Amino acid sequence: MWKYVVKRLLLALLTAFIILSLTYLMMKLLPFQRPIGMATDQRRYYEAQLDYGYVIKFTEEKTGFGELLFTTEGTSIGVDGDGNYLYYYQRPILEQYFNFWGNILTKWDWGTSTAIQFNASAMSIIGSRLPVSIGINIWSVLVSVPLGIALGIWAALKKNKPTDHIISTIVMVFISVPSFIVISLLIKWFAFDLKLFPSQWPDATSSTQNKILGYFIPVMALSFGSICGYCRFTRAELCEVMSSDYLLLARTKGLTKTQCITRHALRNAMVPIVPSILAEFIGILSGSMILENLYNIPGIGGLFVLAINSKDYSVLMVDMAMFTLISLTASVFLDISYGFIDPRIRMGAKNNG
Amino acid sequence: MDLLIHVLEWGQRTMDKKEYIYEDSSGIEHKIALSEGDFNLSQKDEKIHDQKFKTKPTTFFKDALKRFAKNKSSVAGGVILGILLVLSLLIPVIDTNNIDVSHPYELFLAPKAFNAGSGFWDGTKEIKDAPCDTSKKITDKAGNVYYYPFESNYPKRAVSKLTPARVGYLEDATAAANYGFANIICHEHVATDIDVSKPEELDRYSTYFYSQDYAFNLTDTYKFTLTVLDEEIEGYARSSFRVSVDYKARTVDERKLLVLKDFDDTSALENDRINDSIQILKTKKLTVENFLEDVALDSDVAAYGLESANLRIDMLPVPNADESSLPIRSVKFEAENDTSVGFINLGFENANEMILKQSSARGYWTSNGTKKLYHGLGYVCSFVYDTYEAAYGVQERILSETQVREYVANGWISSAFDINDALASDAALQLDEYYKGLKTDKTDKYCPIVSMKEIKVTSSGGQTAYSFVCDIYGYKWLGYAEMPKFLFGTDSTGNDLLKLVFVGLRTSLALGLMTFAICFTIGLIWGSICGYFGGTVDLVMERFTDILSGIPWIVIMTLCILNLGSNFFTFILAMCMTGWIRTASLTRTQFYRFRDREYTLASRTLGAGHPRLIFRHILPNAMGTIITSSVLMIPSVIFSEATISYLGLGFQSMHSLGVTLSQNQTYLLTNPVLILFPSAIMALIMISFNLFGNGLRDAFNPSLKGSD
Repeated sequence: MWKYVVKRLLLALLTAFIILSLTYLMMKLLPFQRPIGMATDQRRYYEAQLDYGYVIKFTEEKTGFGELLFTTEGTSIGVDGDGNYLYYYQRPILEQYFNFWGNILTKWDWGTSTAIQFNASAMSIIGSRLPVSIGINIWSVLVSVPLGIALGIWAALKKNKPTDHIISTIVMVFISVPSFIVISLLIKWFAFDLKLFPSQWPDATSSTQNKILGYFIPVMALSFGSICGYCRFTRAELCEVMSSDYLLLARTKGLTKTQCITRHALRNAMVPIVPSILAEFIGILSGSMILENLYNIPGIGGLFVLAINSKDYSVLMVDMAMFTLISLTASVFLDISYGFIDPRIRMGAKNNG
Repeated sequence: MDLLIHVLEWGQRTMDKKEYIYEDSSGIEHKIALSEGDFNLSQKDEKIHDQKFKTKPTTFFKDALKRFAKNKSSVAGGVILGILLVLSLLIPVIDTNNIDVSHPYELFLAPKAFNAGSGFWDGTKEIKDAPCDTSKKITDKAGNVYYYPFESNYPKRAVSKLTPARVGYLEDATAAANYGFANIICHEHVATDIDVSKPEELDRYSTYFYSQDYAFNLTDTYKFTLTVLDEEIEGYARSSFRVSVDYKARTVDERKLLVLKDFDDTSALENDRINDSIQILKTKKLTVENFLEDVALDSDVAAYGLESANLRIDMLPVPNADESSLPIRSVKFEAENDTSVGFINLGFENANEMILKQSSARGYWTSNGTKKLYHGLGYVCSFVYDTYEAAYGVQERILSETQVREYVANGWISSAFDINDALASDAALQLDEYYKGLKTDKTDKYCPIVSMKEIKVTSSGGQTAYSFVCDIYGYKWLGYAEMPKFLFGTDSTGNDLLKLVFVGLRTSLALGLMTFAICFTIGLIWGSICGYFGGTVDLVMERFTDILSGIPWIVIMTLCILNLGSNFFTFILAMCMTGWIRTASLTRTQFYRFRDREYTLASRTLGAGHPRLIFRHILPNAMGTIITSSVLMIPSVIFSEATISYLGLGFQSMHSLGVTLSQNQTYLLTNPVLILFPSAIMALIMISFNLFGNGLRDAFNPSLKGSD
C-alpha cells in the first residue's frame, strides 16, 4: 500500500513539473510586457531580473544619441546614475526556463510583480491574499458539509416522497444554474433590496460589524453549490446502500430502522463521501474567481483575473501554479484516503473497469 | 404486476392462519392473513410445454427509449431543450432588429408583450422616488401637490399615475449638482462607514440643510428666525445649530462657506414668544456687509460681491429622536426692505425629517461596503413610466435641411416649387419661400412629421442654414413602420435583448456541439485503442491522460486566450484540450467490459480480425453508454464559456450568453430584467440539458442511475 502511495505522489510531482513547465513556456511565448513604474523602479526590476538570470546587461558610456542602436522586442534600455546606457537583453527562453526552476528550488523565488504591486515578490502578493480566500472557503465548507449531508440523508430516507422530490428539484436547479447568476441575485436581494449585507467586500478600514456582515453573501454563494453537490452525492450513496442485501438482513435480524440506518447504512454510505470532504478542505486554499471578482474580494481567485487584465505575468504564473498544485494535491489525497477509510479497496490493484 | 413481498415480521398466529406484514414498493405496510388453504396449485394436472413468447422482441435501443419515456422530468427536459433549440435557430432569423450597432434613442426599453395600459409586460416601469422639478406646481381639488419629474430624465408624455410629491431621499452623491439647490431641501456631507446607531459616530460628520437658491441684495438687511420647541431634549442643546450662508461668488463658480460668528451672542437676539410651548430661539438681523466682514474673503469675491447664496443650517445629531420630540417648528429668512423677494420658509417637517434621519438607522450600503447616509432630501414622486412612449411617442425634434430634403425626395413633404429651381437660383429669398411652402403629407404611412412648427434661419459668413422644429412620431423617425415591441426589452446600447439572448444561445449551442463532436471523436479513438489493446500501450496512454487531466481547465483556457486571442476557435481548442479525456476513459472502460465477453472470444476464435471485433461486436454495444454520458459535456462547455465571458475574457466580437450577461452586470440594480432574462434562459438550458442527459444516461445504463 505504501508503495502505491509513493507511486501516486511521484506521479503527481511529475505531473506538476510538466504542467508548470508548459505553463511557464507558454507564458514566455506571450509578447514581452515591459514593467510599469518610475525609472528607478524599473532599474530595480531589471537588476532583479539580472539576478534571476533572465536578462544579460551591457553598459555603454554615453557618447551621444547616435550611439543608441536598436530596440528589438524583449530588449530594454535604461540610463544609470552616471548617464551610462544600460542594455538589458532577454536571455533565450530555454535558458530562462532553467533559471526559473533554479530560483524556485534554491531560493523559493517565483519572480516579481510587474504591475499589481510593482517590484513586490509574486509569492508575497499571493501570501497576502491567501488568508481572505481561506477565510471565506473555510466557512463555506463548515456550513455546506453538515447541511448538504443532512439534506441528502433526509432525501434518501424519504425516497420518492414529496420531501425527496422537493429537495431533488432544488438541488437540480442549483447545480444547473451557473454560480454567477446565483451570486448576482444574492447581491441584488440581500445587499440592494433588503440592505442586510454589504454589496461588496468591506475594505480594511470598515468596522468589525461590517466585516462580519461582509462574509454572508460570499459564504452563501459558495455554499449553495456545495450543499447541493453533497446532498446529491449522499442521497445517491445512501439510496444504493439502503437497497442492499445486508441491510435487509439487518432488518430481518430484528434491528429497528434507526439502528439499521445509523449502524450500517450511514457508515457504508460515508465511505466515498468522507474522502471528498477531506479533498474539499484542501480546496479551501483556492479562491472562487467569479465570486471574488464580482464581490471585489481581495483573494487569490480575484487576483487571477486582475493579473490577466493587468498583464502581470509573474503573478499570473504563481496563481496558476497555485491552482494546479491545489487540484493535484486534492486528487492525490482523494485517491489515497479511499484506501485508508475503506479496507475493502485494495490500493494499486489492477482495476480494469 | 409482480409485487415484491418482503416478509418482515412474523405476525400473531390465529387458528391456523398466519398474519404477515409486508411492505409494498411504495413503503406502505399491509397486514394480510393467510392459511395453507389459501394456496392451491394452479397447474396441478396440466402438462407443461415450452410456450412461445407472447411479447414482441425488443432491441436495446427500444428498451432504453421505453425507460427514458417513463422518466417524466427527462422527457420534459428534452421537450424544453427542443423548444429552445428551435427558438435559437428561428429567432435570429425572424427578428430583424440589428444588434450590431447601437441605438442611442432606444436605451433600456422595458419588456413589452402587450399593449400599453394592460399593466403587465406592457413596456412600463414603475419609477419610485424620482426627483421632482419644482418649477411647475400642480395642485388638485383635494389640495395634493404634484410635481412632474425632470423633463430630461422622464418626458412628461410618458408619465402616468403620478403620485403627490413628498419629501424623500435622493440617493445620489451629486444630487445638488444634478438637480440644483432649488430642488434640494436638505443636503449633507458624505460620510463613509458610519454606524448610525451610535451617536458618537454621528458626531463625526455634520448635517445641514439648505434654503432654496436666494438672490441676495447687497444693501438689504436680513432677518433669520429659527423657531424651536421650548423643551429640553436629551442630548440636544441649543448650541447644536450653526447658521451660515453658503454663497456663490459672482465670478468664481465655487462655493464658500461663510460662518456667522457669535451666534450665542444674545444681545443681538430678539426673543419673541409665540406661545407657551414654542419659542423663537434665535433671531438675528444680518446684513450682507455685516457678515462679510467676519471672514476674510478672496479678493475677487470681495470685488465682485455675491451672486446668490443659500442659507445653511448645520445641526448636530440628536440621538434617538422620535417624531413627538422634534424640536424645529420653522425656519425663516426674510429680507426686511425688499418685500418682493418675500421670505423663505423652510417647513419644519423638512427640518425635522432631517433630525429623524440622523437618529434612525436609515443608512444604506454603498458600493465599497461601507455605510453611508443619504445625500439629500428633496421632493420626490412615483409614477408609471412608459418607456415606449418616451422613445417612440410624438415629440419635438429639430430636423436638419438634409433630412427635410430626404423627406421631400421620399414624397413625404411636398412643395409647390421645385427644389432644384430654388437651389439653382442661388437666392436665399427663394429658398426661404420654398421652405415656407412645404406641406407635410400626414396620410403617408412612413412620414414621421406630425406638424412643422417653426423654421429657424441662421446665417453666418454668408451661409444660410435652415433648421426645422417639428413634432414627429418617434418610431417613424427611427425607421419603424409601427410602434415596435421588444419582448425582452432593450439593453444599454438599445439592442433587442430577445435577439441578443437567442443569438447568444445559438453561439453557445454551436460551441457545445462542435466541442462535443471533436472531443467525442478524439476520445473514442484514444479510449478504444487503450481499452482494446491494453497492456503497455494502455499504461503509457493512461499516464499521458493522467498528466493532462491534472491541469485545471481555467489555466488551459487562460493560456490559450492569451496566446491566440479570444475567439470561437481558440475556445473550441481550449475546451478540446482536456475535454476528450472523459470520453476516452468511458470508452476504455466499455471496451474492457466487452472485449473479454464470450461472444467476442467466440468471434475471435472463428478468425475475426480487429476491425470486425471492434466495429461489429464491441462498439455497437458500447456506443449507447458512451454517447449518452458524453452528451453531458455540452452543458459544461456552455457553462465554461459563460464563466470565461463573465470574467471578461470572452469573445470580443461575438454574441454569447456569457458576454450578454457580463455586459449587463452593471445594470443589475437599475435594470434587473437585463440580467433576469438571459439568466433565465441560461438556467433553463442548463437544467433541461442536465435532466435530458441524465435521463438518457439512466435509460441506457440503468446501473449508473442516481450517480453523478
